Amino acid sequence: MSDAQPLLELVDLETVFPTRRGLVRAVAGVSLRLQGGEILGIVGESGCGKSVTLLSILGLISSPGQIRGGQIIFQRRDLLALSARQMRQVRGKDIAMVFQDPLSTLNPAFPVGEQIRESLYIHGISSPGPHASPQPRGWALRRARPASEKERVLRLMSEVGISSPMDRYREYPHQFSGGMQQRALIAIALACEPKVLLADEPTTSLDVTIQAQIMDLLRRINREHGTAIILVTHNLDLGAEFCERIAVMYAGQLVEMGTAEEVIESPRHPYTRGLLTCIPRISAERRRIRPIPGAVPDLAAVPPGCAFAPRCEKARPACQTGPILPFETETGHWARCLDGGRNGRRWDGTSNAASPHQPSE
Amino acid sequence: MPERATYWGEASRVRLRLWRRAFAEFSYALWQRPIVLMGGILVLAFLLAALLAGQITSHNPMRGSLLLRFEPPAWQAGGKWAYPLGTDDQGRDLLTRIIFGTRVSLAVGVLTVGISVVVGTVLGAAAGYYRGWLDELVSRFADLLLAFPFLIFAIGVMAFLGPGFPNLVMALAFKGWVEFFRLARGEMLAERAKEYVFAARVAGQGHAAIIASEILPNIIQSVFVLGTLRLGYMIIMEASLSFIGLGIQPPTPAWGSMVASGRDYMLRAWWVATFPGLAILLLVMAINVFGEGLRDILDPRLKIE
Repeated sequence: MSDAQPLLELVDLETVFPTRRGLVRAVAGVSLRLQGGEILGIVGESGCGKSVTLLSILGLISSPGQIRGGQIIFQRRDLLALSARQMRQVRGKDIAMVFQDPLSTLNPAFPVGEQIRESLYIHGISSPGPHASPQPRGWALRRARPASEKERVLRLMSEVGISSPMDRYREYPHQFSGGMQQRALIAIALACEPKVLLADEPTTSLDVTIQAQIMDLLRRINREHGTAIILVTHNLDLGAEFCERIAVMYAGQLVEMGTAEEVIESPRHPYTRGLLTCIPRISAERRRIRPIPGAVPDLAAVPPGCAFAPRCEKARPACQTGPILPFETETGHWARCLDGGRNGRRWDGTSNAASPHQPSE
Repeated sequence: MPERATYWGEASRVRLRLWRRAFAEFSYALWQRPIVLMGGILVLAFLLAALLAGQITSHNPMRGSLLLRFEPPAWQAGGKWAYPLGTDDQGRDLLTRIIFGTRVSLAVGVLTVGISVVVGTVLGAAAGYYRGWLDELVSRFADLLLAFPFLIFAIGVMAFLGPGFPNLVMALAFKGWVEFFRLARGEMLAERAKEYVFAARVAGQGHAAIIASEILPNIIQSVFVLGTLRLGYMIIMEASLSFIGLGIQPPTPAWGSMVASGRDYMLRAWWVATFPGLAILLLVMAINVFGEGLRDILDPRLKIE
């Protein structure tokens, strides 16, 4: 796997937002590789730059924010070099996204089935229908439409687990339950059979049972269609259960990356350890939940050196001055921590499993 | 293949059922509000009167006989049923002129509101979506227009352009679009921040397509409601301008100018000014009642699931 050309590769990606407080580096040099058919998790607190990373991939950072540096290589093309028109063709067709709040993501004015159908013709997979035409919708009653197109939508709907798609095709988003809305959203994302599916906290607004069903659905899609998935979540447990590899993000940087097992079983970065100890668990052993002291640093003024140092109980003077280079073990598990380096060896920049950012100073 | 046929049969049956249900719901809601229903019937009656004016009455609306000046309404002493509402100072049948006057009122109202809706919504949607210099430019221009009282503004423009039907429509639409611009812009500002707009961008749709096919269907309803409410206002504006002689010129029958010409004979023949005035009142009230009722029925925010 590690030798293959990655499907999607971020190289030293940097996305910044100028604010009155100064320049916010929401994504401060993120590098990662996604192989075809892989499931990668990005885990971190709110505001650590997870979502901005996804938006950067889609080229949807709105002004005054901008991608200041780095590369986003998708199928050997640098997405940052594409024109707006070319980028539109990538969005939705090659790289699709599923959002956190399905109800507000669906257009309240149209039946769900029509919205799924629409995603087919945006990329010329099918012809425009009544959704695009200026005619009132009622006229569609008499217009013949290729049955295969509708069949395709119905098939998609049943594939994502929407029961009796025939009836639900005509229903409006508010008539769907939360779980069904998310399934519809997934159907829209899958309509063009994308290579990469970006899932931004897809289950946060759902209850636990539905959450499990949606994650099962995503996993099945990954297996059956070979769609690579990047799952962004603040829930480390969820990430661990669902993903093959996990990247932990803190203050705009990846601080640790490895297989889900390694990250959970033997976390190398103190931040990851902190995240793990503050998850409540039901077990025989009574254990206090230990919150991580302090708060996420202001992204406009990230301290030099290790961004986590002010909250880290093991911080040494060297941590505050940096640069903190990532250290990697034999298996490709690495952490951006001076302490984590004791058991591992220095990252030599050759591994394919991870190619973290080398600070330039 | 038979499977395909079932898909279609099934889907159109579902669709038909939904349409029928929507229609039944609408009629029921209308039935629940008898005043709105009355307004609707009145509007319909005026509309038919305007369309079928020539078929309803055989009198000439433009030319009368001076021998028949100031015939009183039929139910008064000396009145004839040939002239149900009496005749005016030139011996023309008043009812005929009122019926033909409906054409002017409705045509001016519908045209002005139509132009205002199109111009205002397009500019408002674009300004609200793209913001920037376009928004700044159009909004400031709209502010400028809003600084004038409508009637004063219309009088000024009509004095400049001269009276006549096309000029009247232009003068009214020239300021009328501002309301729709402000509404569409405000709605657009609220809608563009919503997730579904962003999702459309993620799906690879372009800006123009997002405005036209994603957002507009969500805001068009409130635009239509404002349209019905503005319709009555525009009819009053036309009548006012015709009343002071800047709108539709006699002998073309227009309610405003009919009231104006009847004003001089108020003591001798009260009906000449009164009935056209009542027609204005009735039509505008019917439109407002119906428009407001329509909003109550259609506005999903007021609907209880």
